[in-house]
Amino acid sequence: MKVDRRWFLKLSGMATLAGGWRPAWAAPAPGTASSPVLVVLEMLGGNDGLNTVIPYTEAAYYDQRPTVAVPEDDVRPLDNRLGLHPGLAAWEPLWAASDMAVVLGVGYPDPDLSHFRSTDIWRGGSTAPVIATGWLGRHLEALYPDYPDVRPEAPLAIEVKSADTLLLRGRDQGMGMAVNDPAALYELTSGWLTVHQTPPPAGRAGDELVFVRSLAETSSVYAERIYSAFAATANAVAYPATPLATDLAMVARLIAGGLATPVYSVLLGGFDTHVEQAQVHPALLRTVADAVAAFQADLDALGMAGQVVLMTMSEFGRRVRDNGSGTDHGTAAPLFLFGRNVRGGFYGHQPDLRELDDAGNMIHAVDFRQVYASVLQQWFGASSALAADILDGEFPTLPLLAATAKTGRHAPARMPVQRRRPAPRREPADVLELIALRGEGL
Amino acid sequence: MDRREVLTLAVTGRKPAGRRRDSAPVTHRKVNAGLEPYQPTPQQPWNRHRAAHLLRRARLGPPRRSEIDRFMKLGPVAAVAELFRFPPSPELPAWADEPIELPLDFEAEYRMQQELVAWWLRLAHADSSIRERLVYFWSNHFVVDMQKVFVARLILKINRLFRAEALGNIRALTRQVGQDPAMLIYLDGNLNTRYGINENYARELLELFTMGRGHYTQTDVTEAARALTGWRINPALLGAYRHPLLHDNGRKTFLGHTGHWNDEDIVDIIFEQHATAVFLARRLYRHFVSPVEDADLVQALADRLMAHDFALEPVLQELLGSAHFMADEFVGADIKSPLDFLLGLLRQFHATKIDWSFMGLILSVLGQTPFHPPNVAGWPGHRDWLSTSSLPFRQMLAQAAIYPSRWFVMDYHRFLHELPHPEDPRQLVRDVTTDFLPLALDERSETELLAILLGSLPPNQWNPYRPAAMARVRLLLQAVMQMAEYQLH
Repeated sequence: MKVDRRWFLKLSGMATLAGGWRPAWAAPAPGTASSPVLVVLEMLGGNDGLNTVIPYTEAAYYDQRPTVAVPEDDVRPLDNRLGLHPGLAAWEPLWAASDMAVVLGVGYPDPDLSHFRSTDIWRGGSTAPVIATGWLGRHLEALYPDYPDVRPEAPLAIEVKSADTLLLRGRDQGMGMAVNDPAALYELTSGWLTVHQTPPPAGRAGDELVFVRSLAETSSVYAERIYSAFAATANAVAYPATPLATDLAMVARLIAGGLATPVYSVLLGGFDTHVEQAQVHPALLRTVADAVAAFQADLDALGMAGQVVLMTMSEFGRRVRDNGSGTDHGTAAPLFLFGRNVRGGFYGHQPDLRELDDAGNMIHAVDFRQVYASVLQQWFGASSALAADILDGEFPTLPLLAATAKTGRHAPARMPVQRRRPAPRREPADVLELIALRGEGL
Repeated sequence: MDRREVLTLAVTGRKPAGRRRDSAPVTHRKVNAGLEPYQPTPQQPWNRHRAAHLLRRARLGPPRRSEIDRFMKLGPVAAVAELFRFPPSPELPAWADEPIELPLDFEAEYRMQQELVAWWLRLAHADSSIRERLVYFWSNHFVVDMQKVFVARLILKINRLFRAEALGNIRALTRQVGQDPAMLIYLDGNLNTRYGINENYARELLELFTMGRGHYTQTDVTEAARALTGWRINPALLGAYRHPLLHDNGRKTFLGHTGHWNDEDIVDIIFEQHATAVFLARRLYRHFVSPVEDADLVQALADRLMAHDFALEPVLQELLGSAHFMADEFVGADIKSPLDFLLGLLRQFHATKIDWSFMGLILSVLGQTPFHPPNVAGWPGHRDWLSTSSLPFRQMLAQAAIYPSRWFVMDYHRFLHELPHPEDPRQLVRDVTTDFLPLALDERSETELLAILLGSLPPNQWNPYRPAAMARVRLLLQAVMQMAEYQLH
């Protein structure tokens, strides 16, 4: 006898696998084919902003960084004062096409040099003493107050290589779904045996039980839809062979495949360059630049470039003076936005290297919440009142994004989405072995 | 601050996180019982439920039935004492003390990394005491990462330190950790010299290992880093030493104390701070009792730590034997880690012929690669263990585990042998669910599980020793392990 979902449904006489799930006909779709998508790329560990966008004409830069400074000849100039690290060469065409915005000196008042606290501040979009929710989580929760009782057609947010981070946490629950491998997810949600759910008891164990059941429900409800979108299309360009590029390639396929998810997050770690920075940092920047360049080219070819904005973030920059091998924790750093709808160019200003705080760190020029407010209003169409509510204060916007795609290049027609039936499922043990031997965490 | 800490605010009337609105209001009832010894009463009897709770929390991986039986007979006091009776020191891999020769032989190092994972998982699975749970606790407190440290012998060395000091003095352990080669490599202590200050270890020592943010300034970090300068690795001895020429012997002012401090002085000053006791008490409470903090209990634990001059054993014995720990409110009130999930499954299945290297891979997929935590803060644990991505893998594992594979084989007859009445299908369902799940099921859930066990067979025809019965029992086990209740810890 084959033990599968249908077999069990017959056995138990249950109507639906998905417990209390109700179809969300009444709720607004989270996105349509033309609705905006935001991809957040997080550089974990504190990226050295001063070696990312380099003030290559300033003597102070070279004086303070005898070990890690990038020679002037290697810098890729953006103007006559600032230039890109050579590892970021792949971004030059995006800069030339005005598809890349560079926000200089991004930080926040009274900077915290702890990775964990500063990551919470950036993901949370708040400097409050207690940060329990994320800025995108609050945004999505404002739009979908009935989630997850009413589940939209597609997940509201997809996190790759992370799960339930603060970024996507709402007041009542996580708004995101962790997806690393759509095919595996689809296979793994087959054949579950479910029985009647004993009502959760009052108390903590009952709360945990509700949490687990909700996760199980979310994954089984969305697994097939995510895989259908993934299988419906293919990438149009080749990506570098790095995990970050692979993650972005997956995101491009899901977007092009018609999955109506408005927010994605991807990440790359390793930026905590206390030591051997000159050996490690260039490769990290190249990994980011090449992956993002491939992603933009792919979106272009897939006809989705006008629909997607990619934004980078990192919890802090690094100390101006190097430590003889690398750099210690710092403060303000540049941040990047990419996309056809981005108004290319510089925003903010490069912090003065002669005016540092007591710890020898740069003074920020732009509050990171100004960038968030701009994205919420200009990209997601939030009112200034809603943005102020989400960010717990009014932050002046920067004209980073155009509501509609810039003209000059035409977007090719979107490929028709074919809902292909997923491949037949394999035996549990085979699936398990395949995934485990690949050696990648889910 | 994470979501669980915020949940404590729920007690004070703030809106809780991580909770669906349509369900009952959050009921983080204050548990009034404190550190006084737990005494069985008719309302709070010493039963299988509570014995299993103690075993789940104090050991690595939930128990099998015979272990619960044994703890039941011992009674609560003897059961707690039993946990603190360590087995003999384990036999080490043959290469444990071999000197490191440079350049490294990468093939050999990778092989040793794999062997280390298999060695430790086998040890954790076999442990009947609290020892390997504490090794795990300290590994996730004083975090090092094999990916950076690379040399398995050094990871094994700090792992041995955690085992040797598992119940010792936390101040002494903290001193030794600061002079441990794996830690010196992982947090760049070996690159911190008077000629180039590297703040990495100093910051994490204060923020993550002892005091927590908010009790020191950036200047304290820099001054501590100066005091910690000069430590170098000796690869041939798998050791480290303080190099007099690289150590900054100048005066430092740290947390208001001025002197020619070195790393040991810094640790001593740190352990004079009340904040350190509170921070460590909070870590213990979250790990062993509940991710939702109880401020009063944490304070009481901190006081006990101070009273015992940071000796762990008496404090932990007191906690695990307390009325607070044994309160019903905490039974099943956490989420199983991948280690607990996997080791429990193997124990409950009476697994034999286990391929431990493959178990290491399984743990990676479940989000807990042994000796490779996500960052210096370690695995955050609790609800972070589960996601829409890792939960389906656990479900699939439950499904795959019931069939014989080349990774392990279930010993069905030993499994049956532990059950008092396998010939009674209803009793079989009840015993399996009581042993495997921290929460009781209602009658309808039990009846549906019974239907899975029996299939089309009338109950009076059930015979667990018939060849076909094994397949039915396996389906039952799959269904039980795929219940949300099975994820509770």
